[in-house]
Amino acid sequence: MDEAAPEVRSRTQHQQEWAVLMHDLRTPLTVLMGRVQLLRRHMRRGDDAVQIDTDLEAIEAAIVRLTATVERLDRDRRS
Amino acid sequence: MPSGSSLIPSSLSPPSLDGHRSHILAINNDSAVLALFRDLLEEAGYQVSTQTYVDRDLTQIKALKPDLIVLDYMWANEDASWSLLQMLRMDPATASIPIVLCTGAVHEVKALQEHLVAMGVTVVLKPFNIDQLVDAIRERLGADRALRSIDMEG
Repeated sequence: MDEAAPEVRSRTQHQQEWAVLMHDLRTPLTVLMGRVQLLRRHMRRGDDAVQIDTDLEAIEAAIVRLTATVERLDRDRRS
Repeated sequence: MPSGSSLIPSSLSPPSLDGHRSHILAINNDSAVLALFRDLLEEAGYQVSTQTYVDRDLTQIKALKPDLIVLDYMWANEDASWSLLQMLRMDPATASIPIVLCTGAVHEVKALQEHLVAMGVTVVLKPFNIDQLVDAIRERLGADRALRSIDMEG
């Protein structure tokens, strides 16, 4: 049986939501950072277009994820 | 230009001094992060396997017998990652596998720092420079080889 006071439950829920938000931001940021560094390396090395395209697609996908998280935050703020 | 051997194409990367190509297992729940780890570590000359948190039992890890595990610690899924870490350390078959923990959960990892040091876990904070991660892996693998060599001599 959950005997925690409502304010404690609310704080715990807030912490969990914050943790999920941080994870949703940090994960694509990690991918962005890593892929940009790999892309720079691949371009300097003169790698083929396929390899460079793989990096660019991953960068694009990470930006789409970040955009979705920002839009979700904006919606939550307005509701 | 960044320093180090990371600019060497993967096909030319030296496996290791003893000719053994180290096998790295990357564990995370995100396919984009796993793809990044695979590309990065294969370029650095390692054999790479990836696994998601869905397969949390150790059977697959024991079968793969990796030389090192890169575990991505997620605060949003703290219980899963922490229990996996403990399971890895408690099972004799996996207890001695070096672990590099990648995490963005700076505060949480600081609170667990003593436990992590006692477990012999190296921490790399996110977002990381890719050379930092590769350096941490090389360092851990080097230390592990040195330790095993001392054990064999002793």
